[in-house]
Amino acid sequence: MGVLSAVIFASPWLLTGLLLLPLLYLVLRVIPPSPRRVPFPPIKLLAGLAPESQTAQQTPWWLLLLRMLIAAFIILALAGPKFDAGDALPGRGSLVLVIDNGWAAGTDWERRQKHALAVLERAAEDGRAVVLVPTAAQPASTSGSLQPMTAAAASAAVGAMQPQPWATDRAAALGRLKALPLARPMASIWVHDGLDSDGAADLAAHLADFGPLILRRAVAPKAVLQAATVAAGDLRAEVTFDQQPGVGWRGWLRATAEDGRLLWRGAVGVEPPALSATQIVDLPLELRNEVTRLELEGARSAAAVVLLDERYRRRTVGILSDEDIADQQTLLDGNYYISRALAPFAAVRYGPAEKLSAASDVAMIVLGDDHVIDFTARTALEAWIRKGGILVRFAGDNLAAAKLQDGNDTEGPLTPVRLRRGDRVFGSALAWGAPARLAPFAADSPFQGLPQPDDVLVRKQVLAEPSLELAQRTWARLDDGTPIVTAKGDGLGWLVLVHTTANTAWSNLALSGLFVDMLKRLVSLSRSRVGEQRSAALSPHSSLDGFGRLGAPLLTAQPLPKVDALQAASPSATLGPIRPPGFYGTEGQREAVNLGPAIGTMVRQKDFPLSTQFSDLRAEPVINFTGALLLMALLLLLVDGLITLLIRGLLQRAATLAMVFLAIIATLPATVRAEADAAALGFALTASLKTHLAFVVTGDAAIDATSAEGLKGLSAVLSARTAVEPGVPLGVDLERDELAFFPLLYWPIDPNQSRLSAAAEARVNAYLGSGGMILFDTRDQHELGFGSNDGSGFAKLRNIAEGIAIPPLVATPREHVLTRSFYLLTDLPGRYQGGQVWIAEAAADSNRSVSSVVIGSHDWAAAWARDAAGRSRFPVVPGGEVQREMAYRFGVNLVMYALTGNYKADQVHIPSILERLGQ
Amino acid sequence: MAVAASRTEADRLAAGLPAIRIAADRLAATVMYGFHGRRQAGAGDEFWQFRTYQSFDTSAAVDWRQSAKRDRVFVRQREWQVTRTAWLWHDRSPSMDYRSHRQLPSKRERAEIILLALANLLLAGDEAVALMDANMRPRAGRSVLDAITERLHIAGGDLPSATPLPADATGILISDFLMAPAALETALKGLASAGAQGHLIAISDPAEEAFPFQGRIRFEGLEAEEPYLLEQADEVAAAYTRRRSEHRRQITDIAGRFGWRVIHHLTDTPAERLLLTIYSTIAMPAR
Repeated sequence: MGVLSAVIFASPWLLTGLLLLPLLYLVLRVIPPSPRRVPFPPIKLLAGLAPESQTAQQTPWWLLLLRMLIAAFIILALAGPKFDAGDALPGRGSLVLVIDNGWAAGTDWERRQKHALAVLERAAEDGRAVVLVPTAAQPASTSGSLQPMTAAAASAAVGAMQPQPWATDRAAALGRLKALPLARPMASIWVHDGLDSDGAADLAAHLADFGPLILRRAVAPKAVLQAATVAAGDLRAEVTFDQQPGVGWRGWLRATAEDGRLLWRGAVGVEPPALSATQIVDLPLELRNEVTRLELEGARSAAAVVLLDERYRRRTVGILSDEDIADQQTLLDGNYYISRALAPFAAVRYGPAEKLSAASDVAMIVLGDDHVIDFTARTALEAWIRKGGILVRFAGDNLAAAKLQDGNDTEGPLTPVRLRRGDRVFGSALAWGAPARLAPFAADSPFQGLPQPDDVLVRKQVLAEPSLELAQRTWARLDDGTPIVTAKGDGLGWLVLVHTTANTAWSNLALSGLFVDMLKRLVSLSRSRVGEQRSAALSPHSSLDGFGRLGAPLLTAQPLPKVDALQAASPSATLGPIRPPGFYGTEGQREAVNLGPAIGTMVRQKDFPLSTQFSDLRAEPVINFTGALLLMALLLLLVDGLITLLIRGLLQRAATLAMVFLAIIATLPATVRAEADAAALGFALTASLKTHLAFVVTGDAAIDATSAEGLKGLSAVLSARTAVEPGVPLGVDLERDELAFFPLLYWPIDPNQSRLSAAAEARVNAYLGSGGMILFDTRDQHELGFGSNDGSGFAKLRNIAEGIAIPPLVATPREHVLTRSFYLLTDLPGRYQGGQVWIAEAAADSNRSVSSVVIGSHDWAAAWARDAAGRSRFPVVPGGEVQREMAYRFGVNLVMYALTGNYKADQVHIPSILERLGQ
Repeated sequence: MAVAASRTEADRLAAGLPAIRIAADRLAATVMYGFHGRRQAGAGDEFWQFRTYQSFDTSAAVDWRQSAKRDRVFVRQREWQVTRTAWLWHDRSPSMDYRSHRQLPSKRERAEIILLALANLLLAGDEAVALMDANMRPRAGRSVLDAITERLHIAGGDLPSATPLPADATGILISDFLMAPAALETALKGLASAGAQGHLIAISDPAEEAFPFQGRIRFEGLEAEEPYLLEQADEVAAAYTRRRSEHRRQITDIAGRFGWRVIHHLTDTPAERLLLTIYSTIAMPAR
């Protein structure tokens, strides 16, 4: 199939428009470009002048070519050309599109989806009905019957389809397909994940029975992280590979913490004969406990992720004691050494035997020599051991003395071997032998390979009665061959006896690193108690999706049921919509359900009907050229416009216009949205490039004009007298404008003002809270005469400011910094003199608090207001330029107070400071 | 601060003084080379010479101090300082607003600068100056400059009214002289009817002179003339130049008929030279 023949046109008859091009050529050729326009005063001198050669100027050939090209592009674009190199759809009639969307499809899901969409696009062109069959197991609620749909609807469904973190259930898909009455002329395409499963062959046979079947499958080898186990103290990850003869696999294994930190990364790979590999996650125990997730790098699949829960973490070790807490005789107490040794890698818990053995999470119990166990405790412990517990017992004087008291059974008093009476002492004054050292650990001992320090000396031990089982029950010996650690398996658990003390009375073993290592090995022997015994059902906490991402739990997920201790439950056996892989439980105690263990061996499906056609997964979508052609035409049109301007000599002026125009075009989509932003941005720029005084726009033109003129007058005074040089005062609409730019806001109270909206109140509160200051001016002192405290404006102010966080107020004290911040003032007059100015009550630490509001009724803006010629606008009452000057001084002080806060408050104390310094 | 307030005041004062006036002053300063008398005895303030007493001298003219030093009686003579009258006019028609390039001054700007500078120079030389058609009487003194500046932009046409100038006055017409020669002749006839002499300063844009246009161009007049479309503008350049020199010759002829002189000036040449030429011709008439 040639490239050109793959180009098809949606409306080919429009191509006849190309025949008009020669006509266009003629028309364009005859019409010359518009002349340049030149102003010329001596035009009369030109009148009647005619050039000698009368040839009309013609459009240059290259401009003609350009314009014809534009026309050709537009005609071609309207004809709707498309490029379609993909394969044609098989057969006729409706199309069955089977898509494997189980876990195996996650890695290259985009390719599958794209391919399916390309197929559907062709189906849409051919107008074929589509039956879409996803094969992943579906929740019971949504697995309705299949319906033929239009290709467009199927495209939408495929676009929304996600790979599921569980296996395909082709038998169920076949069942649903069979329920649908299929008409005969039919074809099928199966986007296959390559793996065999129950019902796969039947499904293929069923599809092939109805018409041609095309199988599209990916060839990417799939690696699966099968499981993570803790064995011999190591965290191991088991990686399985798809069966690919002769193809190896190589990748990286990552271990990450709860917060996504990468804790460890190691290469993992396999050579062809092998199908799986085990990789040890080589991390210190402390870090290992933080690992919550192992994954194969780059393999985006739920099967490439293993979630780790508490089972892989530190174990809880119980130490038998009468109380729930440790005894106090620390250095003499064996339990102290044990708990110190266990602390880095295990949680330690104290308690009596009944309590510890009943606890669900205790993996190992340590029994020191001090503790005496009675019959019930012993019974409980023995039962606990049989269920998988590990009891580690240390010898001591009590054991040496008590060995026969409770032992009329063959094995002695809860020890793995029978013990001889008394103890054995080395290296004392009355003994011949020197203190004994440890012999190297035997190869079958759990302690095998631990480093043995030379300085571990055992001075005293209890001796085992020689017996047939003794050798096989011995885990460690002294260098003279006597057992020092013996153990006996019982049921699922172990009873371990250390033949010396856990403190330093008989040996210095407890002081050595070996002691810690041995305990660590013992702990790692223990089984996790979590998961085997689930005392309550665990609700879904979070779920993996088909790409191995942990997210919110699936709606269809159901809780893990309660499990009794001895019931062997395999939660992964039922993985599916109701049991997606992920965490179940609560944040503190959760249980992981992983996909890996449920996968088993992966087998490629080979059993297909003979008529099946195979092809690779390729996505060759239909490319539509219309947009590109129109864009080309538009660009050429712009070029043509520029050339025309150039020819007519208008370019210089027009270039600017064109650039503006282009900029507008380019930002057009954003313009509509940005208009409001631009206004706000413009305001912000204006307000922030310089310090501005600002006033609240009340809506009353007279008040607003007075405010503006007043602040302008104050700004002029500030500029003339102080280092503050404010810009033009800005009016602020509280409902709309951002306030954060202004150090001070003048708010005249208008009797007709209505309450602010909640948003505006929130904005004002935020402004006050973040250090802003508002000067409220009720402007009504004249109503009640001079010297009155508040007029009716205060009632209005109370009404307006109801939703504004105004602090408790006090009348301005005489020594307040407001009267000191620039000028020394005794009175704070505005247009009216007298009366109180209210400010926020100072906090205990008065140097830190700046009043966020100043409230008065003095009509300050009127006193400050100047007209354009600089003359005062309003007379002051009772009058005099002294009062006006004081009003300006108050304004200067107020601005200084707003800008510098209480920095001047210190100066209030200068006299006393100087006085003190002088002494 | 306080500076801002002073600036406002300065701006207010400066607002009455057009920039063109400053430019004109500067131009005049480059040309002015001092006050000069008529270099003959006459009515004036400056000392010219002592001469011996003659019978027709009044006794008040005798310089007694000089006479006492010698045997003869001396009379103190002052230099003759005569005040001439200059009538200025410039073209206010829209065609003066033309400039072919952004960096060139328009003809009107150049005309106004020349007019003001000339007035400035003449006033500095104690000549009496007046603006034609502006309801002014010739006066001397710096204050006349303000009066001229104020009247610079009053409406006017492309020719002065044909009111006769006094016989001893000098008329100076600054224009592009693109008007019909007949109209100019009528105007000049009126102006010069009493025998006044004068100068026509013809200001042209370089583009009007050289006609540097090429290609298809639609020419548009500035005084609502019919646009004129030329297919190949460069091909008519020679014909245009012929017509223009013909027009110029007619203007010169007309001026010559009344004893007036025509001085040509291009806006891309410095104005100083022109000013010097005119000033020297006016201030020192051939004697």
